[in-house]
Amino acid sequence: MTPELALIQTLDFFTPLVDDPFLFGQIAAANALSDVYAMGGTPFTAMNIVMFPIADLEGEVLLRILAGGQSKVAEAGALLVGGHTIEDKEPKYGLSVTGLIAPDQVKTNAGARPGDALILTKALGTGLLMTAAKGGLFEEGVKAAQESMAALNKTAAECMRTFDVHACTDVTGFGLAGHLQEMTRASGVQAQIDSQKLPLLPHAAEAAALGLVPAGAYRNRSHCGQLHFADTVSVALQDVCFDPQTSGGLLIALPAAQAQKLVDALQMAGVCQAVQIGKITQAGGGQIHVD
Amino acid sequence: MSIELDCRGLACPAPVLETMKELQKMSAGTLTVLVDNPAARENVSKYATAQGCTVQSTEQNSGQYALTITKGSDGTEVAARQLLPSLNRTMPAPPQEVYLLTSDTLGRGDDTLGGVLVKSCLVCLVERQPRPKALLLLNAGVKLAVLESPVLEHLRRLEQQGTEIIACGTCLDYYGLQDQLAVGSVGNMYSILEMAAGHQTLTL
Repeated sequence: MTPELALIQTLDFFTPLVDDPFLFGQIAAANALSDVYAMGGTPFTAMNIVMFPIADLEGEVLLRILAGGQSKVAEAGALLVGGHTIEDKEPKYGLSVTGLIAPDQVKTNAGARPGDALILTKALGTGLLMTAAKGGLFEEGVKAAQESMAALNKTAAECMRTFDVHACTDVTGFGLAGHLQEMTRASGVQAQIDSQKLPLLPHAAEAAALGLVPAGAYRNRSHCGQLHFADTVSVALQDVCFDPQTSGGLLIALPAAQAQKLVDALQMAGVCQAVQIGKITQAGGGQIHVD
Repeated sequence: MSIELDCRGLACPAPVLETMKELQKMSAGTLTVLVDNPAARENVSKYATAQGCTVQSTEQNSGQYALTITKGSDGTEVAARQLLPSLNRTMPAPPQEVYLLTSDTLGRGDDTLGGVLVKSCLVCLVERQPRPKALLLLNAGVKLAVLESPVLEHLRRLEQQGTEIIACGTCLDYYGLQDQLAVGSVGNMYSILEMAAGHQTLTL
């Protein structure tokens, strides 16, 4: 808009993945706001996108969903300025979000360089645990996953600002593997991941070993042609890498010398799951090696 | 004993859940599970393998699979169950800070204000996550930990919550307060420096 100010526009919405309407609203809102944070921006305004079966579900349920969304928009420091609702067989909710950013601060997934460290700010496994939840299994893990999905990437984005971040993306439906592959391809590099360093939600790997793997993980696996696992990486951990995330964390590439300081800053600020998971190794066509 | 379970048309994770129920009912024998997509085939196989069973998959008509699961003796199941807990990783705990207080007031300019600030700081430290690992008290800082201290209750709260409070012995002696330490323990310069150097230390 001006040499100092640019707009970011994004939207996302989906069907309920938890039973509680307020929590659903929170997760959907956090998910929609995340794209702004992944670009290094600040959410400014948001509008509700709603589909609701008003004939079959009580209006109170819709009010709870909207209240959940509002709570996250407020936490982001943004303004909810309206929205649109239509009738539909299945409820869906999300946001259209406008964010602000200085043009020279925009982060994309295309700037990662050989020698960069890769930092991940949220634990993996939301897809696996939401599948487990359908069977009433792993309550502790399910609860941790819900809290993780409802958490904004706001603090992580703010911590990132004082560092020399080369590339950033948020980890969502394509899983860590898919979003990392997008980054390595766009940046023209290769990456190496240490599977033992991956932050896992409680019981996520167990859920994978028990076959509670969502269909999306198998789709992600078949689309990630450039991922190579060492023989020592269990199938369960591989499934975690492909597990589609909802409202996942930020995947950040920055100079290796700054990595520990960023991880410390994130953890001090309350982003307790933040950890270095690997590095960008060399120039290349997007290959990823997981050890 | 051989049982057939038709899971065709069931959405994820129902094929695994139905297989789970059947396998739990069986003591030993064969269970054949029918599924109609590769994801279900993979998931049911994974579940059965994790339970210590052997699994054989055959493709029937296009896109349909029969999984023949053989449940063996209790020995194999115990081995499988032992595998799973090792996959559950404890999340790393966030680093804990150490605070070094070298006076009973915070900052320079006005000592009354400094007294208010140190109290306010300790109130915040009581609430802050993660809990401070330790408070190190040097010079007039030791006065915070003696009987008459206006912030004694906050230091005691911190100590109850697991924060170590170390007051320099030389300083207590200098101020004639050696018998009045009401919270924490007496340390020397060596132990204080060792704690400070070994952690992320903030000097207030």
